[in-house]
Amino acid sequence: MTRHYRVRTALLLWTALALGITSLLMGYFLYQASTSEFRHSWEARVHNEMTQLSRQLQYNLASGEWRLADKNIAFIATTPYILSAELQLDGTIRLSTRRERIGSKATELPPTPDASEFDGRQPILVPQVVTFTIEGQRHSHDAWLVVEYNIQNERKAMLVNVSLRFAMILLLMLLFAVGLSQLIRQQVLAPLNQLQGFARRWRRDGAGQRVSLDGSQEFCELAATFSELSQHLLKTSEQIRQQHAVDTAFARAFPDSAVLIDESGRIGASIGKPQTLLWLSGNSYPGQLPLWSWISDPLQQEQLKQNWQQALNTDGVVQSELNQSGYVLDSRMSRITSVDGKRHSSGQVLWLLRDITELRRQQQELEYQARYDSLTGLANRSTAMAAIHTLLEQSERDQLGAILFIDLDHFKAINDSLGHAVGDTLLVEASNRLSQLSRECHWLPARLGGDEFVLVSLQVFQQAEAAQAAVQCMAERLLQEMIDPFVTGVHRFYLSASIGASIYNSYDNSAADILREADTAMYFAKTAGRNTWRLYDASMQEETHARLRILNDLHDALLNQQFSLMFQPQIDPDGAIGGLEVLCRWNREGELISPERFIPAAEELNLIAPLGEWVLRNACRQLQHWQQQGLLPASFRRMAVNVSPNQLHDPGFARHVLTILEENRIRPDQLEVEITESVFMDKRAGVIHQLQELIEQGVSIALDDFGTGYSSLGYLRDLPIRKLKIDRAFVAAIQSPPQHQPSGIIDSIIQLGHNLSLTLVAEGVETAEQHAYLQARQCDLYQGYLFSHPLTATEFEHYLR
Amino acid sequence: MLLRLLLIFNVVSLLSGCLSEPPTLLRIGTNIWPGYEPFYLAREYQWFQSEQIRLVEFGSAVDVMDALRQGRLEGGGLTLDEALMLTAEGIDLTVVLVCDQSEGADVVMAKPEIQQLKDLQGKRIAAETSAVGALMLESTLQAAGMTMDDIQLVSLEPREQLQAFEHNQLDAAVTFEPYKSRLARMGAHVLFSSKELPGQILDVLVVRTDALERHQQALRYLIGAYFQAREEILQANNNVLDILNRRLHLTRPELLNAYDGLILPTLEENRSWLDTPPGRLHGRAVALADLMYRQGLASSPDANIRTTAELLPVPRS
Repeated sequence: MTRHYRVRTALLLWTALALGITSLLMGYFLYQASTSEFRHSWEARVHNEMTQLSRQLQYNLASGEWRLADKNIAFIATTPYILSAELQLDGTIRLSTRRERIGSKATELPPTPDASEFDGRQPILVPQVVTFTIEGQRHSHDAWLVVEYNIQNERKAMLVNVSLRFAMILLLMLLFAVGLSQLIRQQVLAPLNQLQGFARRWRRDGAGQRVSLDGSQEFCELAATFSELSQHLLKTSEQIRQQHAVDTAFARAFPDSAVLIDESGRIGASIGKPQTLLWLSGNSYPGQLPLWSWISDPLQQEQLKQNWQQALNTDGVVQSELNQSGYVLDSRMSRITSVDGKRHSSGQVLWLLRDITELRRQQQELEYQARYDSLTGLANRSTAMAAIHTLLEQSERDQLGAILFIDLDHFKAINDSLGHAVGDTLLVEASNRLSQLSRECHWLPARLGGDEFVLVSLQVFQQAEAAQAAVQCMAERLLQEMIDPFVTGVHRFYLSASIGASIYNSYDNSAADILREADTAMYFAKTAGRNTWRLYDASMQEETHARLRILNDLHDALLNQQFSLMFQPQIDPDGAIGGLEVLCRWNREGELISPERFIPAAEELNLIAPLGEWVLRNACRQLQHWQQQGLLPASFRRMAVNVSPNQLHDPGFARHVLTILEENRIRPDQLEVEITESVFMDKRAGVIHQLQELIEQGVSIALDDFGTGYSSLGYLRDLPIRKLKIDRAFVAAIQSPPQHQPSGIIDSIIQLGHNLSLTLVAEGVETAEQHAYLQARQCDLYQGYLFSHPLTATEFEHYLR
Repeated sequence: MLLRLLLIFNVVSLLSGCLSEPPTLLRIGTNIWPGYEPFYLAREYQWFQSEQIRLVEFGSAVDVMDALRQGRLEGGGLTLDEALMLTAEGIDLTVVLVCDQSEGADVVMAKPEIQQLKDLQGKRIAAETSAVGALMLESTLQAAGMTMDDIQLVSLEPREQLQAFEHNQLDAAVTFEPYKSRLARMGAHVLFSSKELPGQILDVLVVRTDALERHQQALRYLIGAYFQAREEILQANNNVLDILNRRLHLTRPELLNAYDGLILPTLEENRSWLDTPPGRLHGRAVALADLMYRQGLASSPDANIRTTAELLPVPRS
């Protein structure tokens, strides 16, 4: 354990230590140097004095001046550090600073002192020989001068001097240390204490305090920095609190669960709704357990572990989906980087769990809705297309696929008359039959919409024969399936289907093309009388194209006057012309196109109104011309013009017709409007209203193609129809001899007409037998090749003449 | 802390103040003269410390004066006239003690054939070139009714006179103890003595005035010891006489005789000499200075000598 000293104590200890050591060393060296110098200087000094004295004495003695020698010796005694001096000659003390000793026997000569003895500790006796020769004598005498030095006082003075110097230096050092210590106390410790006080205030009163420090500039700067830091912390902590409040609110409102996973993979703190985990783990919150512990599926456990490891090692989000206890959970893991901002992981991972069970369910539903028909549960158009597409892609070259296009016959009528509920029930039943059969034969059933279905063969075929066989088999079985009545509530229905089949090559067509081909084939089946199937071939396409050309060219035809009027006379029983039917012909660049083909096309393109108007206007103009020419015989009653049901939908139709009549000065009773029974299938009141208005003005109404269409006789009661036109099919059925093969239907029709007092017109009379048969039954008018083909205006004029 | 340091500083400076005062030596020089012997007796008895006070023994008073001039002594034993000579040279001296009055100690010794003062007519008389010598000689001639012209003056120091007298180069000599006794051994007899001039010849202890303050303490010691030794000498027991004789080399009668011619003033007499200037000594100094001036021994008749009784021991009551 390290001990912590206060700076003051440490400083004091250190100063004391440094001072102690320094003074010891310094004192030692100073003492050594001074004593050494003292010895040397004294040795030299004593030597000099002795030499000088001995020389003087030598001189005195040589000249016999004993008195002077005595004086010199006496004078030596005035030197403070010389205790005594004496001169010995021949064993007797001859001169001395102590008079009582003169004449006494000399003591033994002291040895010459060593250099080290000049240290001033003890008095020293210094001998010096004085050799002199008395004037006039030959031999010399040796006298000895012995001087006793005592330099103890000088040594003391030297020591005092050394001590003084030492004390002065020590004092300076002390002063320096004191100054330093004061400096540190004032400049460092005082501001540090203030700083400590500041820190205490900070802790007590919170951040945001300001501090000012006494002392050096560094501390002033430090104070400024601390103040700034405090302010900054205040601001930051405010922000953090704010953020924390936001976070808390966020966590309360957070719809998902978030947990922290610690370094060992255990579930730690949670945010949001830890209930999610609570629900899933069954009994209790799985805190402090490994994150995968509540997952029962070992594979998903493994996946979770992997996710965790991955999240630990990447910066991104590791996302996965978990299935547990019927829940679907979106799991996202993201590691928490360490607080110091460096890029390494803290070992913790944030785990976000979102309950996406409902979302997944909705997605699946949407997906299902996108791919399956909601009513029947069959695949929808796009799924069927995708299936075909997939088959096309997967099948090899020269392999063949097959589809069936199914349309329920007359379904629209049922739907319209009995409502959608019944219609839907029928559709579901039909789809059930389709799907059952499809499953058996490995076909994919799909509903395109309305009453249209498609079956896609999931098999591919190597030979065309095999494909055709499969198609045939399937189509026929389908038709067979439809035979059983459809029962819904109180209703029983007998439905049939028209089926178009298409066998396609995997490389020559797109899914849309294939579907269209089957559609075309279905159209042909429909045209062929329904409840049958047709396999698509290229001619169908051509026919369809032709029909399409008609549709395309019809506009131009109307503009370019390609239409012309033909007139077919109607002969009364007297053989005279009782009326005429105006027929429209289309001469397309030399090719005559029958009304059976272009009238439906015109209706389809909504061109029937302008075409009808054109026909009416030109017919009236022609009739008026003939009237003026007086070409019309007296027997002539009416001109018949065909009107399509669509024309009658126009609310201004009746008035329009009357205007045209007026323009051409044609009496309304000269015009006969031919309508078909299908007019009455449209229940809209407008049609009846138009017809009534025409009738009121004198226009008569003829019912065309009677007996082939919608046979409800109610309308005959409601509308004052004047004329029935017996369809050419019934007339054609009259065989010769007529009496052998009586035609029941035509007889009934004629009977009906007579009963209702209607004028009857027989169409398509081609043979005399037919004419006779009809005449026998009192038909009112006859029309047909037996009398005349439809004629151009000019031809008709000739015919009239 | 600061206080403590200041304290240390004070202690150090005080200590160094004490130590830096060097123990100074009071050097007192004398020639050989019975009047000064109490100092040496005190030294022998170690009544003062040799570290503080050193007695320097010179062969003659001239040497003492030289040493005083050179500043190699703080004080010395001199006759009053010698002291006045030094002050006349500008050396500031203070008389701190009157050691003795010569009343028979200074004498004129003559050959046996000269029996009377008038026999000195035309004779060779040796005298020291000093005020005492002049005073003695003048008084002698005055008593004989003669003048300086009536005699032959030989200027010799007393020590040198011994040899000259032996070789019969002198008829008479102005001298003092212990040379008086030695001359007496050679047959000379006292023709005239200072007994005829009571209170005229004084031996004093002078101290350089500049050293007075510094050595006040030592001087008190020395003077105290002097008076103690004076008592011893006056009792004149054998032991003391032996000690004195090591320096004076006189026979016992000679020694006693020598002291017979001297009056060692008591403490009270000293006080009367020295106290309250101008005291008795001052008057004597003025008269002496005048004499010396007249004799040509001094360039000025002024007596610029100080006296003090401060250093005399206070009598115990």
